[in-house]
Amino acid sequence: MKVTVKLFASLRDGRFDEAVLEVPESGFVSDAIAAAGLSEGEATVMFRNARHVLPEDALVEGDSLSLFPPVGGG
Amino acid sequence: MDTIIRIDVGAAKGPKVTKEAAGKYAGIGGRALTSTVVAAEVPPLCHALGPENKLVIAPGLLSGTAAGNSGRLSIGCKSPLTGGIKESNAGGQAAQVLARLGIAGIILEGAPAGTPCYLVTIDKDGVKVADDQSLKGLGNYALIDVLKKRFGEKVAVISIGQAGEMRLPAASIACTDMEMHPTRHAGRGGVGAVMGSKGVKAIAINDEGCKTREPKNPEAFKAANKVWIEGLKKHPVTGGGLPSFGTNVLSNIINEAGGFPTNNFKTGQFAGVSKISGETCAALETKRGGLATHGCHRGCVIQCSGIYNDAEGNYLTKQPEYETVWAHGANCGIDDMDAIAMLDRLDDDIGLDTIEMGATVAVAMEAGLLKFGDAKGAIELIKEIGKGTPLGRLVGSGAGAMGRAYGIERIPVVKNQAMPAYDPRAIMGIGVTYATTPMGADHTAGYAIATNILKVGGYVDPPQGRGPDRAVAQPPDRDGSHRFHRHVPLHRLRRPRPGRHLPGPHRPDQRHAWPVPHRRRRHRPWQVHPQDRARLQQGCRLHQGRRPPSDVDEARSGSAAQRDLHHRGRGTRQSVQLVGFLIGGRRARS
Repeated sequence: MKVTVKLFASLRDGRFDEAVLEVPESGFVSDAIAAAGLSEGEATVMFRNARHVLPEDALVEGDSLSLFPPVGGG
Repeated sequence: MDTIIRIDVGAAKGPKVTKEAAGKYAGIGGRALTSTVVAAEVPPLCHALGPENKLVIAPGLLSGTAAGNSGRLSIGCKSPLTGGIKESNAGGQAAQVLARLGIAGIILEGAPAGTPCYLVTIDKDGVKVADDQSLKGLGNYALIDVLKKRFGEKVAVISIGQAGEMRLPAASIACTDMEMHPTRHAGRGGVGAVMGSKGVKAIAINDEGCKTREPKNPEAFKAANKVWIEGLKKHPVTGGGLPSFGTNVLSNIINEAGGFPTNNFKTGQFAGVSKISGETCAALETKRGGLATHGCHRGCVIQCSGIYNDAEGNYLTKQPEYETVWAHGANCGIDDMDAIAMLDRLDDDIGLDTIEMGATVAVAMEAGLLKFGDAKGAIELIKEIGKGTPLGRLVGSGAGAMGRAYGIERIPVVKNQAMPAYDPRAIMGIGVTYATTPMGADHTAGYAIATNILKVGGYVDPPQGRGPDRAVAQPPDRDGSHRFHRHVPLHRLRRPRPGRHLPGPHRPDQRHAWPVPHRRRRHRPWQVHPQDRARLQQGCRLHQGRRPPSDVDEARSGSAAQRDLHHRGRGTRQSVQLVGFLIGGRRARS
């Protein structure tokens, strides 16, 4: 199945801003992270369709996954 | 750091400068000092622009030492915007320079006769106050150019622009950075208007001949400072995200979380976010020969600022902060980074709070004065303030005034202060902060974004709650729009039981609209009334079994003082009830 993966801040270095990636049917967030070429722990904040998720959470076809390194500000 | 300088601008023979020992205020600095002085010396019911209000300026306890990131300056007073106690702070050089001169605080008090334009100069030889009418009406940038010629480039300047001179409720106080640009502002709550009401245009501070403050135990200080600086450099936020992309690194993450208020808080995601994000801005700055990593004061380890050049490569402004990019960008539907940088420059020059200005322009857009996304119109509207036109004065009075003038229902303010860049419906923790702080909608009073979104210092899922909370905290739809396009007023979240827990007043003109049942004031042992505190300091014992203040009370005197002032000014209990409604409890438990 296909999910949209968006990378932000330093995760973009040498990778992509936004891409549609292929992950296994009934896959998990961790599968998409691996498909994006990120190592474990590199992304600390993950949103699936604007809600926080963890690497062990499931994905469905068409999900939008946003991955962030540690950031702060304001 | 043991001197407090009082300048009574209302003295009979012109401004009277008194130098006094810190005395009862010794041992506290920054926000604790400014709020304690305001709570102790400013009558809470006074007019914010009258002679009884005081403007208190203080560096932090560690300012002027070699400690990393010790350069924040705190400014306190009664706010002309909220009517309550106010603390607003800024970076820039002023705090370090003041502290090196041994000054723990400056207190401006009284009201001047006539319309003077005072220039205060402070150096190691003393304090001088002179009326200089030639500075009248200057914007901050023009003012700094004049002062640079007089005093050189090594002074630090605290100043107001035209907005402060006009005493507008959204006026800020500017501090110069290392390049002598007036870019670091104590923005919130109209502190600039209070400085204007004292007739003080600028304070130029020169620390020539002064040394870095020495610690009592240099070895221990050095060791602790080393740990502190290494910690800042090693942490991925302060050592990676902030220096690379600035505070505006937040645009994307808050947008992804659905809490990026767009078009006057209509939706929680902005289609044009990628054009104004921290990533885009940093790349643009580097491309144009500016700087993406830059500190605003000596000794800053984080370096979250930057230099923003225009298309020709000339300096335009500092790197616009996240709040500014949101306020003038997404909240106004503007996705043009150059326009946002120009608005940032104008706000700095005229001396305005960028959050309040973005929110005000968005309310004006909602009112039909201009269209969402109209960058040119927004720039013209802000320029009106500098000209002092009637429309400009209305804009400079803030979002609440603009909304009332145009009969708008949806005005994103708490205690008349505009909400900053986090939608409390998607990020509920910050809603509790907005509702409970005595300062109005102030994200710094309890930065729930850290745990709700950034997972720094803990994690709490933002839209958790029960009942009606969940109804308003829906994540945005796939198209980025919230399912609820109208604000649900907080008091409608849960219908109050008749005669009990009636929601409190939300606007000053509704203050006595609903009967509030009489209840005995709950005993709050941590709240010590200022009058009681004075008695305690004289060694008296209190009745009613109250305990004398402990060390903890002393350490928290800044915030306790805020609570006291607030309690006497406006309804703490109503705010607490409001939280009850917000978090979905049947009864507010304070």
